[in-house]
This record gives sequence, structure tokens and C-alpha cells, in this order.
Amino acid sequence: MKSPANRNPWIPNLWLIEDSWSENSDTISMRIKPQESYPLPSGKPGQFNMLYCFGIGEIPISFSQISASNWVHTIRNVGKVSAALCRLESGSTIGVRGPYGNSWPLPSDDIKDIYIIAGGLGLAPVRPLIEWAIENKGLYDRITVIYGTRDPEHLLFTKDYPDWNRQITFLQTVDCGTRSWRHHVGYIPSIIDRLDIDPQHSIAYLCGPEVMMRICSESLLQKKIKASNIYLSMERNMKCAIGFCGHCQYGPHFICKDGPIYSYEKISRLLYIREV
Amino acid sequence: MKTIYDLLKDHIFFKGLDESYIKIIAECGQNIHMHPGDYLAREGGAADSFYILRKGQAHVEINAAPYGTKLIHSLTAGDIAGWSWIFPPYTWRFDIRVTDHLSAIALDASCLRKKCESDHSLGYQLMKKFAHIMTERLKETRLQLLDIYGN
Repeated sequence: MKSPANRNPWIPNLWLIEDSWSENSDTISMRIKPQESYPLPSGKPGQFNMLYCFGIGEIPISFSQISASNWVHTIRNVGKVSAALCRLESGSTIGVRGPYGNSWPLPSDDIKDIYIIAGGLGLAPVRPLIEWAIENKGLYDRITVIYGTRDPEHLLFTKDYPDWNRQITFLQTVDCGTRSWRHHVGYIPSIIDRLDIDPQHSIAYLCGPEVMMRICSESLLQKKIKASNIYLSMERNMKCAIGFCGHCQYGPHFICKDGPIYSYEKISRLLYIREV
Repeated sequence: MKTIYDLLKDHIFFKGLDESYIKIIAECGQNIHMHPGDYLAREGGAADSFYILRKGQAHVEINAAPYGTKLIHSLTAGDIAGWSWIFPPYTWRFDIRVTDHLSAIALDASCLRKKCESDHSLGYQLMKKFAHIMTERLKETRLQLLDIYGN
């Protein structure tokens, strides 16, 4: 069987939904594997696939988990294609193109502390990075994950939290809490402002709404973390995913091909230009 | 044992404030410890104190039918709780409920208002501190109103 890498990049490969489950009221995860027998392409944390729901359309979705035998994608029901994907049951077939885009860059040798900051659905693309950080935690002094979302009902991957709480510093915040909520209430920078950060030896990875990443980056810069050590996962309307169509153009960049992950140093100017 | 002055001097809220002012403010303070479920403030109640949080956690709450009680802001060590004591009618606008064993300095509002009235320079310095916190909370609230995670 021909490896997908050797095929026409416009033609999706057939993949099987092994399992699908609800994460919260509007978000599902699906575990998928190739329907045909070939080695799984190499997927890296931060990359995405184009998922095709037959007869409906195709959308870019980041990895939320990567293993040797299957991948997990997490999808929020916000549009026609995502709604259709969310409705698919275990055993269904989807089309998959990918993986595409760059991956979260690994910390350089002088980095001792890792900060992973996610908002809302942005926890999905950093989840493989969190898993990588946990596997390699012996290399670092501090691994801190800060996760903000709308309210406790919209938290993602809650089954992972006991392990994360054991292995790393995992800080949660919501915009609006209920009486049973024991964690922070407020926006993420109010947590960053309280951290005792060693800026020369720290790296930060951000994923979430653009305005959240912008204000969090400003807080991290105030803590003196270098702009070149702050990484953001950008999102635009990706169509071809291979740098041809230009739908995802972001200034001089094609996010599908050059991104989605950029250092703050590289794109800070664009973050403050409207309608780019 | 640390005095109220020592505790205030070490608190981030008073960073940069002239020590002579901190001594004056300390005269209005007392150390308090509260348990989860206790209230620092009740909506509509007299705002006769404000609090310099040293340890623990409290949440600002709003109770509105049909939503029930909602937590809208966290307060932890390094924060101050309450500014309703500054402006008439000196009544709390929200509840502030302790959610983790709390140690704080409670500053008597009436005592502090008198000191600020008799020394406008002290009043101005304190008002600058509060204005900064209010600006930050307003910025945070505006972003929360955007419901950025929901889109």
C-alpha cells in the first residue's frame, strides 16, 4: 500500500473513527486510524490535519493526542463541517489530509522552566506538548500549565487533570465560576502576574483566542521573557493547507505552511494590525 | 512578632508608598483570620473596612436570579478586597466570600477616611493605588465580557 506521503496531497486518505466521545456540551474528541494498512505518518505536537466529512466539507483540526497507532482530534461544534464531524459515530469513515504545518519548537538547552498557556479550545493543540513535557519533566525545573476557559462546564480533558496535578503545576481559571469552583476566577494574565518567573531560562507556549495570546504575551514580556522564547499558535481560515490558495495568509505568512506556530518576535507587529 | 506596620510594609499593595504613610495607615489596621464560608462583605451591607489579603483565598460573588450565585473574581495573597468604603453611600456592591483559610489586615474605613481628609497627600497616594487596581479590574472585566473562549 502506498504511503499517504506519496499520494496527491489534494486527495484525502480514508480514516476510521475508532471512538468518539463528548468532552463538554459543544465539543467532542475522536480517535482515528487509517482505514488502509500503512504506517502512520509522523505527527508532531502543534501540527494539524484537514478532516473531511464526506459531502459536507473539510476543516483544519490540530492534534489533541498523538500515539504510535492512532491520533485524537478534538472538535468544537461551531459550523457546518464541525457540526457534521461532531455527529459522526464510531465506525464512520472520514477523509484525512496531513499532517500539515510546523510543530511546537523544543526548548533550547538553556531553558529550565516551561510555561504552557491555553484558553478554551486552545488546550487541544497544546495537549500533546503537555504530554511531551511530562515525559521529559526530568530535564526541567518547572513545568507550569495555565488553562483558562469560560466556566467550569466548558473545561476540556478533565480526566487528565489528576495526572497533570501530580506531575506538573496545573493552574485553572474561568471567567465565571459556580460555588463548587475552588480555583481561580479571572483572566489568565492575573495568574501570570503572580508567577515568580526566571525570564532568562523560561519558554512560553500559547494557544487560544488571539486577544488572549496578545495580552498574555504582554504579561510575559513584562516578566522579561524574551520575545523569541514566546510561541503562539495562530489560526486563520485554512483551505488547501499546502500554501497554494492564500486563504490563511497572515501578512507575509501562509499560516498553513509557515505556521501555525510563530515566535512572538516574528509576528508581534502583525498582532496589532487590524483585519490582517 | 510582626506588627501591622511590618505586615503592610511587606505587602505588594503598599510597595513604593512612603513609610510614614504606611505607619499612619497601620494605625487603622487589625490582623484577622477567617474560615471558608465566612464573608468579608455582603452586598448592601456597610463597607466599614477594606482588606489587605496576606494568605488564603476569597471570591467576589454576585447573586442574580435565575443564574444563582456566580463567582466573578478571585482574591488571593497580594490582593486587596473592597473599595466601596471610599465613596458614599459606603455600602458593598458584591459579596466577598472566603473560600480558603484567610489571613488579612482589616483596615477601618472610617479611621482611614478621616486620615485621608486630614492629609490630602496621603489620600492622593492611596487613591493612585486604588485607581491602578480599578483600571486593571476594569480591563479584566471588559475582556471577560467578550466571552473570548466561547467563539
